[in-house]
Parts: sequence; C-alpha cells; structure tokens
Amino acid sequence: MRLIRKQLERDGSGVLTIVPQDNEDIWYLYNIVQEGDEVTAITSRKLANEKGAPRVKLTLQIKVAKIDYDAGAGTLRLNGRTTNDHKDVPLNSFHTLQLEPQLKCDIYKDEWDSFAINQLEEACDIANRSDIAAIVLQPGLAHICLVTDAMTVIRQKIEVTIPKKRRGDNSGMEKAVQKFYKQIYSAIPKVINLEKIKAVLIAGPGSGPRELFNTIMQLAMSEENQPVLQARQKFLVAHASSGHMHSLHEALQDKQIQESLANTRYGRETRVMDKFFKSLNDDDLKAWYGPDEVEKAVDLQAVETLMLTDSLFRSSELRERKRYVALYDAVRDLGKEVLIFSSLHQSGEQLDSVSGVACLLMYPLDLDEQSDQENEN
Amino acid sequence: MRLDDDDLYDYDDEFDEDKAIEDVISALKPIIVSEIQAETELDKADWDIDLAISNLRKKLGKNKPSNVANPSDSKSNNIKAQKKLIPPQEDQGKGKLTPLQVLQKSRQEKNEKPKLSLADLASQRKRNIPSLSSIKKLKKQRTPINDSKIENIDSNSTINASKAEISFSNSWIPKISYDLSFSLDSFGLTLDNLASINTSASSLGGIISSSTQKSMTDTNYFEVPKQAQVSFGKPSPDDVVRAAQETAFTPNSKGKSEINVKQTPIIPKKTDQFNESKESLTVDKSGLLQKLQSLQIKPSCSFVVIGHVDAGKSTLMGRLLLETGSLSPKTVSKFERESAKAGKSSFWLAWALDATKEERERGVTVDISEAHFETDLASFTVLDAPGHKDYVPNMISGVSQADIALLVVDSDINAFESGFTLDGQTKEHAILARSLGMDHIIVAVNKMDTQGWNEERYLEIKSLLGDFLRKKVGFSKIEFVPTSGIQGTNVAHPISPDITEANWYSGPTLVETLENSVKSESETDNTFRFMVSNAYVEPFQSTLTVTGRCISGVAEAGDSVYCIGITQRLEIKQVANKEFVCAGEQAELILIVDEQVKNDNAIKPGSILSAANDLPLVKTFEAKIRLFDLNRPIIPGAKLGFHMGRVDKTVKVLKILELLDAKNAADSKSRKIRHLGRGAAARVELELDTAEILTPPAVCKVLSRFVLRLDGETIGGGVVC
Repeated sequence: MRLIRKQLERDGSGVLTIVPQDNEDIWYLYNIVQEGDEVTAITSRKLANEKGAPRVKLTLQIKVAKIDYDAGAGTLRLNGRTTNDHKDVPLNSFHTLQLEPQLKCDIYKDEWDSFAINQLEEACDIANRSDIAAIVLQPGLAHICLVTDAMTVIRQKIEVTIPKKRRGDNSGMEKAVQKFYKQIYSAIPKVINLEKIKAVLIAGPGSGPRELFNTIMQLAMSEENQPVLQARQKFLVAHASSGHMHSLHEALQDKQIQESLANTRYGRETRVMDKFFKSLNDDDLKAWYGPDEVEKAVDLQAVETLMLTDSLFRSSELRERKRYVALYDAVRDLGKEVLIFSSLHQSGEQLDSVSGVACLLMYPLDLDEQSDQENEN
Repeated sequence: MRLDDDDLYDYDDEFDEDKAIEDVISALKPIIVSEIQAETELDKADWDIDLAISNLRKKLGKNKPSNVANPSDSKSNNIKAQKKLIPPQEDQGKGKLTPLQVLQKSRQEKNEKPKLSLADLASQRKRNIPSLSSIKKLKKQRTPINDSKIENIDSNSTINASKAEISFSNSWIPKISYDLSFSLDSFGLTLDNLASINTSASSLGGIISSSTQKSMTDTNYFEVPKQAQVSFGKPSPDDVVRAAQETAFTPNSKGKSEINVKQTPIIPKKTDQFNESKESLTVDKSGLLQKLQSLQIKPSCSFVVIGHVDAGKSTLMGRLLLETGSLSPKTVSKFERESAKAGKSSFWLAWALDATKEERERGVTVDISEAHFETDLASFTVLDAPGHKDYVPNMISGVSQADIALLVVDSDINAFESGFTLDGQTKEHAILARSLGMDHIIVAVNKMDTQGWNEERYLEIKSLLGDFLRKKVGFSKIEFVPTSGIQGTNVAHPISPDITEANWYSGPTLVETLENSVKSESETDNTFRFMVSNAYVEPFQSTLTVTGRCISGVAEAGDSVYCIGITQRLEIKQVANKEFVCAGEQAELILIVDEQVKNDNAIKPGSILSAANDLPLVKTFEAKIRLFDLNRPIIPGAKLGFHMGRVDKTVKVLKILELLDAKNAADSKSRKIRHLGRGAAARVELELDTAEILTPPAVCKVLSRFVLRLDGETIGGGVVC
C-alpha cells in the first residue's frame, strides 16, 4: 500500500489518500473501510438511463452503506449514495465503487481508531512480505494455494478418483496418477505468478510430492515451458500427512520455509497460536478465550499477549468495534503484545471460531472463579 | 442432524389407535381364556421352555422401558393393551402379576396351543387379520417404497418372530404361528424388538437338540400357507405375502435364505447355535437354497495385517499365500528373480502383495492389497495394510473391511521397541483397530529366526504387548504366535523338529490360530449393504466392477442396489466367482451401469451400495469421541482429519456439548467447557466439509465408527450418536 496523503484532525477524523498495490492491500482495505466512511475514487458510470449508453469515467465520492469483498478476485465493492456535486450525477444517487490494486482512493473517516491505523501501517510495511505458493496433495486430492502475509487463499482444488491398486494389472491406477499430476501441472501457471512468488512448496504424504515435482519438471522440459524451468530453484518438496488444507501448516514447518516466514505476520501468528495451545493443553490457567474472559483479564492487567482477529473490527455495530478497540488500546498502552490475526489464515480462522478473541496471561489466573465471586457479590 | 433409530420404525401418528386396540383385545380374549384353562398343562413343559421364557423375559425386561419412553407412538398403546388384559387374569386369581408377566404367561400358554382345533385357529386368524393389516397400512403410509415390498418385509418379520417362538415349541405344532405373530404385534413389539426376541429365541433353538431342528425345517414354512389355503379356499394374505417375497426385491427375505445356505452342516464348526436355529426362519427362495445347499461353502473370514513399518507384514503374508497354495511356485520364482535383479532380494515374498512400481522400488507397502487363500476349514481374505505412518488412512480403510486384526511385530531388539514407542505404528495401529470396533487381535511375533528362537524374548514381548493391548487399548481376545515369515516357520506348517531352538513352542501355527478365530455370526438378516473399496471401469462395456465388503445382508446376481448420488437402481449382473455374497464376505460385484454413472465416477472407493435407499447423507452430526495423546487441545473450530473406511474428509468441531468422563462430568456442569485435552471423552457436534453417509451404530455399525487424525497422528476415535 502506498500512502500519499495523511490529513488527520485533532478529533481523530480526517482523510487519507492511498494506492493499494496488490490483492493483499485490498484485503487490508476491507478491514479498514467501514460503513459510514466516505470514499472517493475514479469509477465509471452510465449517465443516460438507456440501453447502449456509453459508460463514462468520472470521480465520485460516496458514503459507504454496503461492503462486499471477494478474496478470489481481489476486489472490494463499496455501495452507497454519492456525496459530492457532480455536473452529471445528482447528489444522493446510488453508486458502487470498485476498489482494485493501483486505483487511487481517498478515505474519510469520522474517527480513525488505533486498529485502522495499525492495519494501514501493516499494509504499508512491505519489508516483511513473503508470498509462497503451496501445493498440498495426496493421491486424488490437491489444493493449490497462495500463502501471503495476510491470507491463505485456495486458488484451485483438484479432486479426481484414482482407482486403488489391484493385483496384477495396475496400469489404470498409474495412468490416473499421471493424469492427476498433469492436471496440477497445467493449473500452476494459471493460478500462480511464478515470477513474483518466493517459493513453491509441494507437500504431501509419502513419495507423492517428489513424484509431482519430477513430473512437473519433465513436462516443462518437453514443452519447453520457460517460466516453470526458470523457477526450478523455487520449488521445495516437504512432508505433510495429507492433501487436505489442514495439513498445510505441517508443510510450513519445513525449515527452509520457516526461515523465510520467520519475520512475517504468518510466522508470528503461528508461533503465538502454538504457545496458546500448549498452555491450554497443560491446563495451566494461562490461556483464555472469549470476550468476557479476556476483558476481565485486561481489567486485571494480567494479559501478556492479546490475540484478536480482524473480522471483529468489521462488525457494523459501532459499539462492538469500540469494545475491541478499547481492549486493543488498553493492552498496547501497557506495553504488551497485541496480535491481529488475519481471519484468512488458518490460525485466525480457528481463533474466529472461538469468538475471535483470546489471550495469554503473565501468570495463572482462574477467570472462572473470578466470575463466580462476582456473581456472589 | 440428529439421527434417531426410533424414527426408522415409528408408525404413523394418525393411526386410529383405540380402534386397533379394541380389535386386538377382542381378538385376544377368547385365546387367553382358553389358554388359561390349558394352563395346568404348563407344568409338564420341559426345561427348554423354562429357559426360553426366562430368556425372553430378560429381553422383554430390556425392551419395556423404551416402550414407556415413547408415550406418543403406538407402542405405548400396546402397553395399555397389556394392562387391559390383566382383568381376565385376575379373575383367575392372578391379580398380582405385572403386565410383563402377563405377557410372558400368555405367550407361554400359547405354546400349549395344540389343544385348539384347526377350526379354532382359522377363526382366530380371521379376526386377527384386520389388525395386522391395519398396522401394515400404517407402515405403508410411512415408507414411500412400493407396497409389495413393505408387505413383504412386514409379514416376514412377524412370521420370523413367530417361527422363532416355535423353534422351541415346535415339537407340539407349528401351525399356531399366526396366533403368535398376532399376539406379538398386539403386544406392541416393534420390528426392532421382534428382532431381538428373535435372536434370543433362536439361540434357544440351538440349545434344543438338533433332532428338533430337523423337524422344524420340515414342517414350518411350507405347511402353514398350505393349511391356510385349505381352510380359506381363497388366496389368503399369506399367499400374497409369499408371492411378493418371490417377486419383490427385498433384503430381508434374502437374509433368511442366505442363512440357510451358510449353515450347511458340512463343516461342523459353522453350524453353531446361531445359524442353525435360523434355519427355521427360512421363508422363500427355496429353489436357490436347495441348489446352494448342495455346494460346500466354507466359513469365510477377513483379517487385516497391521503393524509397524518393516515388521515383515507383506513378507509374512506372501509366505502365507505361498504355503496355502494360492500363489503358484512359478509366480514366486518370478518374483524371486525380479527382486534379485532389482537388488531387493529379501523382498521377494512381499512382491506378491506389493504390486505397484512405487511399492516395489521403495520396498514399502502404500495401499491395502487384498488376497485370498483357503485352508481345509475356512477361506480367508487378507488385507495387507501399509505400516508407514504416511499411509495410515489406507490402513484404516483396510481395518474397516476386516473381522479380525493380525498384528505383526518385529521381535528384533530395537525394531520391536521402536514400533512400540509413542509414535510407533505398532501402538497406533492397535489403537486404531480397537477404535474401529475390533475386539479380537492375533499377534504374530515375527522374525523369530533372527533371535535364534529365543523363548525369553518371545515371552518378554508377549507380556509387554499383552499388557498394553489388554489394559490400555482394551482388546478382549489376544493371541500370540511366534513366526518367521522369511523362512516360513510356524506359518502354515508346525515348527519342524530340526529347529531345535524352537522346541519350546508347541502351540498352534499362524494358520491354525486364524482358523480358530473364524467368527460365525454375521448380520445376514439385515438390509444388504456393501462397502466399495475399489471400483474399476471396464472400457467399452456397460458394466462396472466393484470390490469391497458386504457389511450386512445378502445379495446375488439379479438383485438391484442403490448408491447415493445415483437416482436409478443398479442391477448386479454377477457376483464374481460366487453365486451370492453375504455379510462379512469380501466380494467382487459386476454392476450394470449406464454411461453417465461411469463418467460421473459416482461409484468410487468408499461408496455404499444398499438394497434400501434409506441411508442418510449427513453433514452436521453429534458424536461421542475419545481422544488419545495429543499435543494440541481441541477447541471448537478445530479442523481434523475424518477417516471412516475409504472416506477421508475434513471435519470441524462445532460445539463441545458435554464431557463424558466420570471424573470430569461433574466438573463440566459448573464450568464452561473450553477445550478437550489428552484422554478426554466428550459428546461433540461435528461438521463435515461435504456430506457423507453416517448412521448410528444401531443401524449399521461400520458406518458409525470413525477415527480423527491431526498432523499425521491419530488423535481420537468416535461413534456417531
């Protein structure tokens, strides 16, 4: 994300002008823009209400009423009424802006809270960005996905039926496996930009990933597929216990991958999540989840690490959002760690399903007992 | 979605219950009165009847609460009916009897029925028919299958029940079956209960000497309809039923016919009580039966070979196949040559089962291989499972197809221990087999030749492993056999006296142990269900070949089956190498399919073929799970690998409903359950990524048990509830 202009007032309101650079920035924008904000961007609109009328490019400002995000296409659609005077478009007419990479836009908010600023800063910090493509496969099932700083996106799922082995004649099975590998091979250039990507991880049980790699290289050689051949060094073969998406994180434990992931958001998230689970498993009363429990812990200033998912802040209920922003601020002001998990990553997805807020404490504390006591009082 | 087995048998609520009860009572009254008169005869009844009654009482004692628990359906009305029946008994000075006892009594008395004349019987029947048929109608309303079929299933089960009753009273007269079936119906036993009574009665039948057995088969089922025809002079409902049975497609009737076949008393072992007594239940397909009876059918058994990687599973199985004559020496010598050429000469026996290029190159079994062999006493199906950690999902599919497990352990120092450590597959496989419902395991302590047949080593492994399998894992039957797969010692032939070090062992060989553990009971009397393990498309033919295991019921060529995802019924063109397939058997079926089914790949490994289109596709379900060792606790939202047979899916934990451990249960009431840790047992709500066929264990055991895995480790097992 490129920040072009930042004009904030004392009361927290103000305008920012930004240019999103890639799909990931659109995801950050999705977290930043809320209903009620005013957004200005170049758009196209049919001026005359008749068939075949030409679409004209113009700049419009709207007050956002509805937000749609499409992770696959990397677009954010904002719907609302126009708020600026335009010679052709009357005030208060409905319009939909589509935010895309490389499209400059102005965002006005009544209040830029700390979460929005944090997201913006993260989006602008491209030093730690690391995009990895991963193929997890088992016989008959493969997922091709993109692991970026803020999201894990499944670009393609390939599922075929492979006959099981049979004594005597196994040609059917071998043919089907080769066909399956070929399907993956032909999907790669369509869904992965091999030039931009840092690494392509092939993972799965047994010898499957190794065979896939060999097949890909063979096919690329015979077809003289230069992009693939040049990216040969980027391919990594790792172990995972299955071809399902939940095995991806096993593959990401691979040492080589870990090195390149260490400083990324993904790496941090995984580390903290592992710690959280370990604590939970040991039952040492240091790991808690749920908004009420965490709020209590924050009140007692016992929190060491606060974990929140970005989906919490997307709540259209202003009070909800304020509640989490208050938690965020409180912990940060104490100088403790706050992590915003991307709900598009595996760990964030899991956190989301347990209310989206969790914390690790500095010392064991039975929050259940605390609430019992309160109830008695 | 919650599955409730009551749903399967509920009658329609709109049924005019009162009227039916009146019917029942008015019909019953004369019988009871006459029976009470005959009661004095009762003392003369021999011990069989006493035993039968006490068993029945036990059964009914169990069934009764379930009746009470459903006050809304017609079952409860039957309890009312029972109560109303008490007064006549009281008149006879038996006021202190509970309704249950009354039921027992009246049933008992019916066994004394010979006193009644044929005319009486006929007249009673006439009165009985309306109530019976009214119940049938209800069932029709409930189930949207064609009429003749329902009629068939229906009457079948009632007749079965009555026959089962007769199986201990038949030395008097078999013709009372109609009254009995009527009385059973009137007392509100659901089909379910009938089945259970059926079983108890049939086990009794077995206890009665085999001489009565013969008379049973002679008299029962053909004479009854004939008598009926004579007395009515017009087609009776029984004829309708019989006709329907002959024409209609019903799993139940086949279930009966099959049993008859299975129990052919050629092999003494097979003719156990269970099967023998069921002979009396035979209803139809007499032609086929006679034909099949002339065939010599050996009992069949399938076992899965499990254990740590490189324990010698495939080699031991190769040896087994060779020594039982199912591998020709020629093929074996070919393997020997080829494996020597590939520089893997010690793998020559394993090559019999490791058929793919990958497996042979790496010397590791990847997928289940299936092989068959026969001994003099039984026929076996071997499912050779991969031992490597990565291929546990394949191993699970093998376990789901097997009756018993053969655990192979390497007796070598270190090798045994490494398989037996925390993440060794000796442990994991044993736990998996147990969680998938197996309770019988045979342990082959392999590679004894490398240990010089050291008895101490054998005993050490036996005590270590025996303790673990019994106490930690919970197997009820564990047997140990020392073997050497590569040298073929104690596999099919006893240890030769030349091997002096092994003189201490005088127990059975591996094959003998397997023969001794052949299970005879199977769910033949249930709906035909078949789990597909492999499906092969035959090019340019309108057929599809599937292999797999018959979970329950029986089927033969010409039967049609349903498969989820395919709207039309599929016809079985042929059962390869056999005339029929019955519960517990591995088989290859050739199905007639059209192009579309073939192109859609609708039948694939993991598919269930079923005679009735009644299997639910489930996405969200409740289950009881037990967790083993795990590093990451399970919290709601966790995604786990879900394995059941060939099914390999992702399941998401939606909610933790309650903890089931005794010690934690009390705790969980006061506390919010936040996570499930090591060793926890809980009732949870799970969601599959795509819907799958799941049933509660009451409907189909195989389709109710599953295993949960995470990060390549088995973390828990569960049962759908």
